[in-house]
Amino acid sequence: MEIKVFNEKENLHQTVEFTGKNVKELLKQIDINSETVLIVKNDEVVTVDEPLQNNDVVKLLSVISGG
Amino acid sequence: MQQNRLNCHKCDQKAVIKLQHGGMCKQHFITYFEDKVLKTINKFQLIRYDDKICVAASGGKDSLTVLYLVKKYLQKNNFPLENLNALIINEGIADYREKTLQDLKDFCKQYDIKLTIASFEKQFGKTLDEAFPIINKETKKKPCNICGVWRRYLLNKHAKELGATKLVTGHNLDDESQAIMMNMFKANTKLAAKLGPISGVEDHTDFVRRVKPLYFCSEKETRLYTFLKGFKVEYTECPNVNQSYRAEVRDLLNTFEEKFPGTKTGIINSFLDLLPLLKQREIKIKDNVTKIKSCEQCQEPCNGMVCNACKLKNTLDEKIREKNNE
Repeated sequence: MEIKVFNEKENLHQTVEFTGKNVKELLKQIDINSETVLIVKNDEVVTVDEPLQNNDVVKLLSVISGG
Repeated sequence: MQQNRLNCHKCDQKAVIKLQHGGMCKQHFITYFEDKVLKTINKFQLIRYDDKICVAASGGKDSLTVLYLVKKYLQKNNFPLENLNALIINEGIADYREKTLQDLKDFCKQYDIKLTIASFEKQFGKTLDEAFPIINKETKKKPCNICGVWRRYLLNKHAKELGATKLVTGHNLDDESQAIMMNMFKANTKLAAKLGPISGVEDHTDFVRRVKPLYFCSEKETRLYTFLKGFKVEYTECPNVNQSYRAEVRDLLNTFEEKFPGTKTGIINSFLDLLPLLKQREIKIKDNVTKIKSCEQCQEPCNGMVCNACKLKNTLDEKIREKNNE
């Protein structure tokens, strides 16, 4: 399946070919630590256990600010 | 697929965060987060009725949250709202501070909070972007070393000018656990003794005590809170952050936290057990060795004859003079 991912920190939109089940596996695939992002799927905040389906849109909002 | 989704452990709503004790829905998380902050203020007596409060703000998620919740705390306890001020230091870092400064101005206007703006340029004659290459050439100091000294200096100076008895900061669980580990790695127990929900070792007339209501809140929780409350928080990271030792420690702790949830809280709680001993030890050493003096140039408190902020400014001025004489 294809997941559309927006990474706020990198200001990067990408389409990810994904064969896993949930957000946790997606983050692992794209090498992002779940502690560093807030996950928004289809405009709703979700946890890493959230299941994913084809064409889902996932925004990764950085929780780190400041210096 | 739906059966794997995490629900709130208090009700059956969909969870927005997974904490150590289970999932939490939007409403239960907001209540939990606000209770945690207000309990921290009460437990450590961070704010008293007659305190004049200056909130050190940046316009980022932590400072907007702490500003909002301190106001809420004052309202809830019928403490005087006119005692609340926000203070921002504009360091002069291009493409960074301007954005958060505007967010803070808008926020203070919306919530009717007085705002004072101070700047490196006004106090030291140059922005951080201008001063850094000049000072660095002479001292090899990184931007964070200069920024930290000047920021702390201006926060204390302006807080005193505002008559503040407490300087509230947005330091969170991540900031504090990083600072604890940084001091541990560098064997700096003297600096470690100054940490805790109330910064500093003891009261001193020249220092406004710094207090940290978000002490037990992680960055992730605070970001989620601002998101759910609809506060306008743009993603901003200081462009100098990658040059800092702190960023390395931050990444290390996040790797640990993901693998072993509760790591950061564990660091904080074990540190709080040790903190009274560290503070006692520091007070004894201070009694025997050093007393706080006044800087002979600016009269602000310091350990030597000239404070670190003035030393940096002296280096800057000297190098500018040399360049002008060439």
